[in-house]
Amino acid sequence: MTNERTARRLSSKSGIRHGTAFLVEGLVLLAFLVSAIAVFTVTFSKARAQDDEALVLTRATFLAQHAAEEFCACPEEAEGTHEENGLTVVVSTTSEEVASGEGTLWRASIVVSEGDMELYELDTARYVAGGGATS
Amino acid sequence: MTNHREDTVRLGPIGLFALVAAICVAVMSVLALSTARASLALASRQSSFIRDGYRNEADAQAFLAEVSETVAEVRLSGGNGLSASAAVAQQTDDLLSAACEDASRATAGVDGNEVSARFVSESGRCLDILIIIGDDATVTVASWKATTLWDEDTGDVLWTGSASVTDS
Repeated sequence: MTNERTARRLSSKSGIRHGTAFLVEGLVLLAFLVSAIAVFTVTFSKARAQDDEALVLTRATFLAQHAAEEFCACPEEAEGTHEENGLTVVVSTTSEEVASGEGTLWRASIVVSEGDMELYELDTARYVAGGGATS
Repeated sequence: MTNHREDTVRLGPIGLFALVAAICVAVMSVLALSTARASLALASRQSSFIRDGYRNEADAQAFLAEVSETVAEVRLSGGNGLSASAAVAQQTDDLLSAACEDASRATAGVDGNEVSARFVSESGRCLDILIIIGDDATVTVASWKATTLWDEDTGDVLWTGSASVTDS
């Protein structure tokens, strides 16, 4: 009788100990998972932000390059503003008569922006010969 | 002993699985971050490269305009191609300074009736132009070549290609 009671008491104590160990182990695992997910979320969000920044910069660069090529092809008609893929391209041109009026030096300032934020700026020039020069 | 094992609830396999999954996601996150950084670095390098190319272009166009102006002045005063070339040769540095904001990164020279100029940016973008002054004191662009300067890294030579036979 005494032995049975002792065995039951021991079994009960062992069950409590195992339940506590399970709980502690589960909490540690949960804490590990939560902290790991937090770190991974920060890392992935940083990667996403940098990837988006690179994509926008690449788009802005290509848009500015296209505008510069259009300016080189026809400087007289290049000035203006247009939007593409949510980016605004502003082309400002100035002209200066040189070579005693025989040629014109055109300068262009191209600014690509997204909303109020300026993303990329490009300056170029084109000399258009009027008579004595060919290029 | 058997009862003791049956009573035990083990988190070992679950913990191991969670650890493996966490390691995999950690590797993926590091790869994603390094790829994104590389993309950003590449994009900013490309953008500065293009900006330098157009800066060279702008300076070269302005130099062409200055040369054309000098030649036109000589022509209008009754000079010919020879005197126009001489006038450009005398004023080469002044023409470069007038054309470029930073004249130290440009060089120009006159050889006979050929005016050559080179514009180099910090990123290695280079623009070589060749202007020819005609006998009737007119200007023609003969060459307009954009290139990129780079230094070949010869530090890690694995094999030079020359075979050496040594008898031992």
